[in-house]
Amino acid sequence: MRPQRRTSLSRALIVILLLVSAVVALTPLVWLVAATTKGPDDLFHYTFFAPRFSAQNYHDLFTKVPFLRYLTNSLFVTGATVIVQLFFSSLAGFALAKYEFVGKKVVMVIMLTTLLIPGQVVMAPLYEQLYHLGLVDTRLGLIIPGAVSVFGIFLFRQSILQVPDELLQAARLDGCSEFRIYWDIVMPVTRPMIGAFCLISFMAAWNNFLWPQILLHHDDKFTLPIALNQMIGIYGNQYGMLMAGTLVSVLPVAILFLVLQREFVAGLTAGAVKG
Amino acid sequence: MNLFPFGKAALSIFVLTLLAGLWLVAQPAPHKTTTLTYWTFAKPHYEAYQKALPAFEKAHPGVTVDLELVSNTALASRLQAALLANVDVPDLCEVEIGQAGSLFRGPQKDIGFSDLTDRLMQTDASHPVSLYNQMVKARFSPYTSRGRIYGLPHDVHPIQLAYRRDLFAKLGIDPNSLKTWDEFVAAGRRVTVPGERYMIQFSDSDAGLGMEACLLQRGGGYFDPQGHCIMDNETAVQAMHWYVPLVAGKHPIGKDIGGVSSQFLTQAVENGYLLCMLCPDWRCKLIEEDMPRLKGKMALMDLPAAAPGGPVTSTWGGTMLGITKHCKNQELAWELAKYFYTDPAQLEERYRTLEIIPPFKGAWNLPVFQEPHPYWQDQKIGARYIALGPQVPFQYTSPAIVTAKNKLSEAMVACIQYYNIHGETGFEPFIRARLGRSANEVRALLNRDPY
Repeated sequence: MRPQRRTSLSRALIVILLLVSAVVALTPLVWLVAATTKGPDDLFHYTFFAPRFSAQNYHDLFTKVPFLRYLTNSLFVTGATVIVQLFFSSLAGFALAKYEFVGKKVVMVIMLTTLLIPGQVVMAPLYEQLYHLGLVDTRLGLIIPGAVSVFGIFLFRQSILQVPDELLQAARLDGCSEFRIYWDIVMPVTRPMIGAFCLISFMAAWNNFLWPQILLHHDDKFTLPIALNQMIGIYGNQYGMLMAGTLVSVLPVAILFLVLQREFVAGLTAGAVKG
Repeated sequence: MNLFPFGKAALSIFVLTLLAGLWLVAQPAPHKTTTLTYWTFAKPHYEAYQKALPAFEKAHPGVTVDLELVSNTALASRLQAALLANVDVPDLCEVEIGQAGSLFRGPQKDIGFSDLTDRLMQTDASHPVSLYNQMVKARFSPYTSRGRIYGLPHDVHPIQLAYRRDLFAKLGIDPNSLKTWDEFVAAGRRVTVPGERYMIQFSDSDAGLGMEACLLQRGGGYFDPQGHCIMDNETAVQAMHWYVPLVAGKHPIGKDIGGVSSQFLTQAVENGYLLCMLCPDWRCKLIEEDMPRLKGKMALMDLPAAAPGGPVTSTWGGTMLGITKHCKNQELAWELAKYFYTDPAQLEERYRTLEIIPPFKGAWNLPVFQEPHPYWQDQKIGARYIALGPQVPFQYTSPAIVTAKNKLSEAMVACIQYYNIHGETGFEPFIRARLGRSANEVRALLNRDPY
């Protein structure tokens, strides 16, 4: 077989394989979209799309439950968590990357060790702590425990290590304060990493289920995953609304990814190739 | 100095957060100080109680009740943690039957719920019959520990069979002739076509979907009234021996597809793949909503008896209401419990919303239970369930109830595997040994509890 023909054949095989994978990956999403467009009579009768289109589920979603409030709660809690986490993680990452102090290695080891402790283990003491602080059933109770991310600190430390020390020394010679070095020099230089971190952190906070489920008691504070879970009941499931709500809840993350994909990829690949 | 050095991505998130925060500030949720806190895990209960509360608060000036909807998956662990740490404990709490036993762990004085036995037994001149005697007694059994009652039952949940009436007629099955399980199985063997049509939805992996109901109907269960594990007694052995050939071997008549509610189940019933399902009262509403196209094609029949003249029902699911010891105003909490669980107007509303009959017999003569239901070919489904209420079996519990349920499923799967390979040869000794092993594991767990 000639090499050119062999290349075309292998390319065709790859395309077929990718197409099959795409169909497998997209089928649940198509099923989800189809389910949102079916009325109660058709919901389970047709596996995918029904002959009759219905917007009933979307109408119910915004009229029968306070969905806009759930969405806003999710946006607020997620956004605040990302911003607070970004600030503290980058600040700590900066300190660990660019300062020498006694016990630095020990701090790093302890920090990284905490990554090995499952989050569920600390939930009971954390709950008690928040109860005594009066933060149970509050949005602040969701934001504060996530204010510092060890993963984020490590990510920023590794990224800031690439920033030349000479740049920082030049700034000091010009009379720049340490905070200003962090704010005006280090952060702009590590922007690609910030984009990637924002997306990862946003997705984690947006999809967070277990902790809000434990902490929140009133539906006016429920975030989307909790509100959607409430539609699964012991006596009946509001499947149509659940599917419509799920689709709407996927949209912000999808939009964010589309907007940030260039920064995200740049952040993940930064430092992958050494010049 | 840079105003915001984190870039466009973080800035857009920051702006979004600010806008969301401003919206939330502009739309504050109503805040009130409360006298009683009430946790429920079922949204329909929550909505019904929300409607009912204003009347209770009006009748009790100065009293406010805070209803909280807590996810069922989080409730038991959160309640257990709250009771142990004595933080954030509700005054009243509804608990699902499968989780109730685990909350009665430890010495009785340390159980987090108030003992309701004396209140339930109380009589006076205006109430010559105690509340205990006005309720279905069997429904107290899952909420009783060492002879004391810690929960008020929310429901009875008798089981009937929901069946495809049109297909039964087409296949020449007369439901009135299926008085015993033997007759039912014989009819099932005649009409079942493996891979195409099965007589009944019975699970071969989850004992909760079939096996447990049959075991309870035969007078068996997981525990005796003293909390001893009995899941390997003769009743359990015979129930397993009877059940396994229905879902395994060469001629099964039972198949599970889609669990309690799913697209698979709906399509299976619509297409005649499954002809019957176990149907406690709570499942009626579920079937009506999941299978609207079968309106007028479905009907209910009594469960066939295990032996002639035996009970023609069993039970599946349930909820209790407990008052925690943390509650400062026990009298008021008891008033609220009675209001939600025995007030005829509340119970009528509950039936209209959920089609669940109450265990409070004083409400059984409400006209609502006599109404014909068009989905079920105008059968008076409320009256049918009420007629079965007194036959509902007792089911005793223990702190090891969750483990016991899992162990029964494990034993059932092992028996099915054995039966598929060896058939009847040595089957009964195997069942005896396998159930014994599961029961011993539960006993070992109970023995580790020093109380």
